[in-house]
Amino acid sequence: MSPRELTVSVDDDRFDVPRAYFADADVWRRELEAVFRHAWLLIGHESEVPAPGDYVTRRMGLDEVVLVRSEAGELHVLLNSCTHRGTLLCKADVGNTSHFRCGYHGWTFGNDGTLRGVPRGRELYGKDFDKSQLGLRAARVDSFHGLVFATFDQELCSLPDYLGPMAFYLECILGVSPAGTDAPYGSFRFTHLGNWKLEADNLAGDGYHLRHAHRAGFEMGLMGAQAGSVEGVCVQFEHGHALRAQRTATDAEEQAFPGYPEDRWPEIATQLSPEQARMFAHSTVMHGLVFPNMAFVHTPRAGGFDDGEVDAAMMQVRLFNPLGPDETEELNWLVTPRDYPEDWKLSAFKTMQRQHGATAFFESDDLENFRRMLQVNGGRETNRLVPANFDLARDVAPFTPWFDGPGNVVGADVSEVNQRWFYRHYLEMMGADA
Amino acid sequence: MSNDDAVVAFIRHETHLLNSERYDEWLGLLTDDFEYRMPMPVLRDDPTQPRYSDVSLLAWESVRSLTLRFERILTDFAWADRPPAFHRRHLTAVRVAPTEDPQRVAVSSDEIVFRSRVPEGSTMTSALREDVVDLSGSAPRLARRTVLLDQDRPDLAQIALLY
Ligand code: FES
Ligand SMILES: [Fe+2]
Repeated sequence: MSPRELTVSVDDDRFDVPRAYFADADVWRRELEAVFRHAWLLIGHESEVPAPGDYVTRRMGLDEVVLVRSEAGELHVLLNSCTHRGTLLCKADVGNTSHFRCGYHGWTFGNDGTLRGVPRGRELYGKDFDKSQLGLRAARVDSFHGLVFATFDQELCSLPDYLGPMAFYLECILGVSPAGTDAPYGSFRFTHLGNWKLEADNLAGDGYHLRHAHRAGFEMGLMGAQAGSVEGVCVQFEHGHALRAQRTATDAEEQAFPGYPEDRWPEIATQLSPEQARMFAHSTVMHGLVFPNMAFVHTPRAGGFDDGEVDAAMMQVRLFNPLGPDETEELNWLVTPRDYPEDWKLSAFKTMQRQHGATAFFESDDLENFRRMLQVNGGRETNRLVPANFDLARDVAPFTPWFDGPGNVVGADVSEVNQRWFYRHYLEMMGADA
Repeated sequence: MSNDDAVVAFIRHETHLLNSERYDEWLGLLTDDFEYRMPMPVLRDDPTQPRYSDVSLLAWESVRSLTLRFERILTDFAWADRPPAFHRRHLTAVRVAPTEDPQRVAVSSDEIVFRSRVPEGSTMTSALREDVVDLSGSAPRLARRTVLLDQDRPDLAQIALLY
């Protein structure tokens, strides 16, 4: 399908994305080239590979990669493909090794990616054979508060520039403790039906679906302060990122950080800048998208699921990789302050798995909506007559946010401004006519 | 009926209740401290190493969280369960063994769970169930269930189900 056939009608009255964007295999292949190739992609958390030689295998788009800590203690993201004939080098999910040895002809690579051993190399390749040219292909790697990102695009800006002012908001969560962050329960990896962008746009800012898709959660009293009197904003950033932040509407001068141990509140207030603290205090929920395929959900919870559990805020970081237009591979992590008490981390973990994990009832309702779109995507008339529509709250009533933060802050709790932002950026990268 | 036979009959009964979606009755067979766990399958290179994470639990449910889970199904807004999926647990090789606690026995079973729904399609998942059954009361009660999936990188349709 040519870009022309995928023309999008985006004007003052309508914001429609053709269904082909959620169904077409050519679109998916172009995404890998035009979108995923030119972005910093989340790989994992530093705590998954604490010691030299520790590794986990991951994907960047369809590329298999290894995140490994070298003997020197540095993080590397290496293409998991032997530079001899290209066989997948490292087949395990996790492990520790000083060397990766290929199962085919036995080439051996150090855990920093350098080619170390070639069986009978001198004899068969000659003494001028230059091993230094045949190390594992390495991505650029950088970390942000423990989250490891990588890209193969040499031209792309640095990770700090890529995140830009979104860091202001992410740091409200990831920067509350001077001890840094931890992923104490490791990573969860599974596949599900549905186009990856549906999850991206939902988590970028779909405040609209909450009271309907998750109505069972509201009725059962599981939505905490989100069910109360709240106000919220949608914020957009360069490179396609967006987030939605909501708090309990209050005039109180005093800052509360619900879900965090009260004895840590002074520490949080000093860790964050005054403006960050103002933004984050009284938070009921914050979720967003780091373009293109990392999302996060942060929600404080009053009382755990079981008797006697402490209040704990849950920060789930998610990654969704498109295995095709219809299938997505997801990874997620609970990210906590590193030095918080074990019972706090445990309560947060239970909330994550029971409310937002793969086996949880919340997730199931979102994913049901995503996969039910697959069922209609094939229809000829459906494609022609029912594009995906993102018109909600084009003219939002002006509302002055409770803080002065960076990015394009729109005072609207429920709108599709973030989704429009996400798709605009995405479509631009895809070279679509709009 | 020997003690072991009674435990096997109990396991058959509770499985039948799950298959029949008689969740209230099933909850009544649990101890107050019942825990349901599904560790994340994690493959290491060495076949002698454990195949499951000892920290990453895909599911960790208590009586309270399971009660909420079943209550949700009965609200009008359980979108993922409307219409419902077909599901059936097929149990075989139920084995009963003593534990250090004379009041509790370990039960392990091989299980195949079939699930089918549009649009997810059908999945057939093999797993090992490791249970602890409490015999301290007048009737056996389920105190713990750990589900070990025979599968690396499972699909959501396979894990969002009670085994
Ligand atoms: S393919 Fe790896 S050594 Fe030949
Ligand atoms: Fe949702």
